Amino acid sequence: MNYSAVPDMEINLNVRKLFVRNQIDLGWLSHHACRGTVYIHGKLQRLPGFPHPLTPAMVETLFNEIGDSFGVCGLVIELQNWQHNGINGDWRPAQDVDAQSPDVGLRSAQDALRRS
Amino acid sequence: MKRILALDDDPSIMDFIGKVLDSKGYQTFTTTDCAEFFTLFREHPIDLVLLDICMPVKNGLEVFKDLCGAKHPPVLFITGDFGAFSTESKTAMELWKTEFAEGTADIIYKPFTVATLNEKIVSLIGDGGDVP
Repeated sequence: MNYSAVPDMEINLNVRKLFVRNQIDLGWLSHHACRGTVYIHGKLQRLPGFPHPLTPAMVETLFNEIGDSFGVCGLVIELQNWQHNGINGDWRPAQDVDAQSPDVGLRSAQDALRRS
Repeated sequence: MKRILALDDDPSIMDFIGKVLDSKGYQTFTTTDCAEFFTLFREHPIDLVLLDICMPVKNGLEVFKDLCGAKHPPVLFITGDFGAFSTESKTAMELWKTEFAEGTADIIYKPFTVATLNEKIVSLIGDGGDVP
């Protein structure tokens, strides 16, 4: 087994810092690390009153940053309001995504591992 | 055993949180009174503070500011007000740029599930260990 040597608590702290730095409303989102794999679920949105809404590019950059964080060896993301298109690899607001696409919505740990 | 101190003016919420967290292996102190909260905080080594934001005498953000003068444990804010951390709130944004930026504070919105509460707490301080 190839588990991360970085304690999960430290990974959790760093993930939370990244969300805060990007003005993400933590109240709608939950995350935890387990043996280096970070699980994120809920709604990804900015703090109320923040003037600039998230764009797909910002979401991609944010999750790339989390995936590249020290000790993170996998990423599992399940969001209610953003979905990952497994075909072209981009993030889109959930209402824009074709509901018929079978490979949408969950970005697997394996996906993150392939990138690293 | 990790110790959690919770302050909310609603006794039913405190009762619920106390039972849930005790069952997860944490030692939980709950109170609806701000003065008692500070007494408990001084008397016990606390690993995590749960703070309701909307309270009649002193709101949770003000209570937190009082804690910030000294070394303090991580804080999980509980609120049903989805605008509590609006960028237009000066107090909230002061905390956002300092305490939240350190990664040691989090937010949970009411109503919440036991699973979400537990995940937030485990993410901040780890699990409660063996349940006695």
